[in-house]
Amino acid sequence: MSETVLTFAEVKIHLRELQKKYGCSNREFLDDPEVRARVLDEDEFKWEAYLTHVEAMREYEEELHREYLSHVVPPSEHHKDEKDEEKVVAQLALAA
Amino acid sequence: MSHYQDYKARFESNRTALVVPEDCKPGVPEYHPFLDLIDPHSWDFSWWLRFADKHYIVCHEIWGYRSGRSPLRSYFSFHYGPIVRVDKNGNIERDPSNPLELRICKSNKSCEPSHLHYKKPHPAPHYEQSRVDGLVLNEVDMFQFVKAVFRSRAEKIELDEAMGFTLR
Repeated sequence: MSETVLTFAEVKIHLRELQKKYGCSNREFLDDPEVRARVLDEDEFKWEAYLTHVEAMREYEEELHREYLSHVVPPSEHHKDEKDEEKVVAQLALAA
Repeated sequence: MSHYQDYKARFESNRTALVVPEDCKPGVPEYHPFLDLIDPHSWDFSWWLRFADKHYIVCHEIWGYRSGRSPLRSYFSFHYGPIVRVDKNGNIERDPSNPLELRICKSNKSCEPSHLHYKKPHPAPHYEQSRVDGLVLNEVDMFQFVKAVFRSRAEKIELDEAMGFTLR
């Protein structure tokens, strides 16, 4: 069994090499059947794989971002909390 | 266990159980996980098998998943046909116009639904599911394909019979 972890830098380099080799963009590779027809089978597979990896990474980053945002308290809530704290402090001061 | 680890375990289990004919030399399966060796969100896979009579099988798959969802096979290509050309290192060079016996493939990215090529390479028409009976193209498993090729060669039957499909 051979197992090699691909890095983002490697994937970007390989994608640039494929674009240069066939003189077309990633979008053209995906959308244009004529472009695709002249891409060698192994290159087609690798091109698809690299694009899938980039997309998977973007989706994962978006997930992380959404997760992060779901735990962030909106500024208005912060402000409200601060006002509540100020009231409590004022009441404590009066009581003293 | 991660989806990727499950995938590897399933492949190794199937490969161990596979009865390989004497004239076939399976290559080393090649895994390419992206960014993470244990739980990658995407990976690609290749496996080549060569026969003594200068034919070969190649299986390619690309998988990915989003958190909380099942993994999705976004691309696959299972190809069986003659070796036309090899490079100076002995690697098989492939061209879309090369002759073939059977190829079943799919690409989500380029919106190519599952289809097969039978005995005629590009640009011969693809057979999409609507023209194929007896086989769900999207669910074809690489070992189902490999075993059908083995059986076709051993019993000298056509691959459509070995795979169990008919074309319209």
